[in-house]
Amino acid sequence: MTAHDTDETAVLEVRDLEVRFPVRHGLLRRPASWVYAVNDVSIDLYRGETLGLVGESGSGKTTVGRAMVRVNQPSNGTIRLDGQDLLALHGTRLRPYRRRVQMVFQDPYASLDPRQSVGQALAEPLRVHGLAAGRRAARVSELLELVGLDPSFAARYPHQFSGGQRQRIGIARALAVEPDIIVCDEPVSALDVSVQAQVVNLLASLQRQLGIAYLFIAHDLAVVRHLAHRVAVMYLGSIVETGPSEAVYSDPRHPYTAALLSAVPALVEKTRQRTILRGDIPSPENPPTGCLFHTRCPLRDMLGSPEVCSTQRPPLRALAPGHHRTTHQVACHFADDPRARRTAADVAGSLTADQPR
Amino acid sequence: MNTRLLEVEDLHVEFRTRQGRVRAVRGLSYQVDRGESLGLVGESGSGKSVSALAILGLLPRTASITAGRIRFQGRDLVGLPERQLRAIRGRSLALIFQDPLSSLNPVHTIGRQITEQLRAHRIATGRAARDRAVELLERVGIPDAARRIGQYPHQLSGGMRQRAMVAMALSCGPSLLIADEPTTALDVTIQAQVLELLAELRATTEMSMLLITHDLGVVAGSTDRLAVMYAGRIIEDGATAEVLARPEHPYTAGLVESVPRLDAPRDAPLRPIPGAPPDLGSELPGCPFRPRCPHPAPQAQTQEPALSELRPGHRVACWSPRLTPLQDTTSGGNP
Repeated sequence: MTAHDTDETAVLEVRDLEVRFPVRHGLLRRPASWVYAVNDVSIDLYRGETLGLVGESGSGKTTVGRAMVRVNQPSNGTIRLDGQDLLALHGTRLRPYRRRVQMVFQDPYASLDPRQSVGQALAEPLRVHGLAAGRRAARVSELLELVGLDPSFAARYPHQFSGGQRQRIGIARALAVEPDIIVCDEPVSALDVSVQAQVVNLLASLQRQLGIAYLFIAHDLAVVRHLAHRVAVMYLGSIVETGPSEAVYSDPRHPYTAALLSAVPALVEKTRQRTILRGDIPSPENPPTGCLFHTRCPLRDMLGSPEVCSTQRPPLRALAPGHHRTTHQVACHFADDPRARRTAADVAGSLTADQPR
Repeated sequence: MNTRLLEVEDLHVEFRTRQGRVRAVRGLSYQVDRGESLGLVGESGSGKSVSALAILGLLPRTASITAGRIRFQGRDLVGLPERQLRAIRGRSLALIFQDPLSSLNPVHTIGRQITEQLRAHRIATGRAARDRAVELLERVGIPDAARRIGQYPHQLSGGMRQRAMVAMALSCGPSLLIADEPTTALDVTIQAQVLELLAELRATTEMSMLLITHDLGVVAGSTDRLAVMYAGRIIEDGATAEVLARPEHPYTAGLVESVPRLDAPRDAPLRPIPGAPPDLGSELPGCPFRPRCPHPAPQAQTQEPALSELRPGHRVACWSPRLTPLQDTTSGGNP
């Protein structure tokens, strides 16, 4: 995947990202082997857009997000912010870039200091980055209003707020330093549904007002569909499908994406056939050979277990030529197979077909 | 003759906290009939899980049932001595929780935990119990069950643990299974497996189910009837499909409209419910939903509405139902 043919350049360019963690054994806790949590992940994020990163637990989606803010140190690959390679920067030289990429966490309670008032929590990043000197109190009020909270709340402490309000504070804190990008890691999954929608709408309206780009990490496909312009689906550390949201959601071409969509319970259950995947996600310590998904793949069963699935890792490739921001890319040997397309069509809506089970 | 299995009547549960009394459940009433599946839906703090703990006699020490009855198979469980409760719990009244890891004993094998239950309830011992355990694990779709019974909970994946919990719950052939957020901790593909298992069990056994969840999608496919809780009470109940398609309480309607859905247009706006649920530690004059209600009736200021039947089998506790017609987002062809 190259980006040199683009007319619009991405604000964030991630190439061949690899993050590995040591598996330690024995008395000396020496790394005996490595777990590859993220493997060969390349993503672009454009100004003012939302890229949804979805996957189940162990897919590596959170690790990718953490690498963006340099919490996890990648073992390979590049992360460029406006062309500057972040992985080459350290210490104070990294600081201006840290300001531009902020993070919002799942549990706002755990990410706020209980002994710090909301006003202090919001003023701290301003102080660290030397922003709004002389008018910090005014800026704090501004930030609270921006996220729909009363400026008088600055004097209160985190425990005095509900979950939804705390998440608003978490967002205000990320906004304090006027970032270009916010990495949102499951920002609404700990919230009750009625409150979740408030925060989803807030994120959408802030993006319209401020032009911030979001890397939106979530397991909830419906929430991601609602917010994301583009989406990337991860499985066992790799992206298996990516493209514009309409394309991926209405015409999923990787059997894993299709199964994920089919697993989402619907409020009004139509007569759709559901694909229920067998088994669990394999351990990333011992990933399958060939296609990472072949051990659970309903399409492979349908095709009579072709050998290539278990021997060759399918690369992510575009289904049709085009600017890669708008192309639909899939890592499956059989993405173009008519049977794969039919399964996808069943999931996307109306038809019914044999349930591969 | 008697089809009523569980009947909760005007249940009140209070917690004693340093800040004073918290009325977590305030006059809760519902029934589960034989073979029926009831979904109890609510957000955090609505009292849905507390009511399940009350049925099982597992309330924490700081909580107590201050009024009401819980009749199970005709017998009132409130105030029943622990010994008698224990004979019911796990035998005819089984439960599964959200987090199987915290409800399985980490130092015993899966097999031992099932056989112990069979022994405690005098259903089977020794070899027969072991065989039954293997059979149960196979029944819930655990592959290689004969080997798995020798494994410890930490050796199983999340989905397998929840299956093992289901196997354990089924071991004594319960007439009611209480499932409290059984799939909330699971990934969506694993959730689909567990829901499929529960549906299959319901189709092939006489077992009734009380499914407690915050997820409307989960109740939609798995329950016959649905009761929605708010601030410690039921504010709407009826047939699941009807309540979801034609919610009458503004809170239920709000919940339905605030869930992002795969079957709605991608740019359909989410309509969140403004505000937050009330603090149950303070007095709630009038309708507890009034501060968040789009058009509260004048009576809501002072009086809490009672559940009353709007259509046969569909009840709602609201002074002005139908004032919140739901935008037609389903268009499933309902008249």
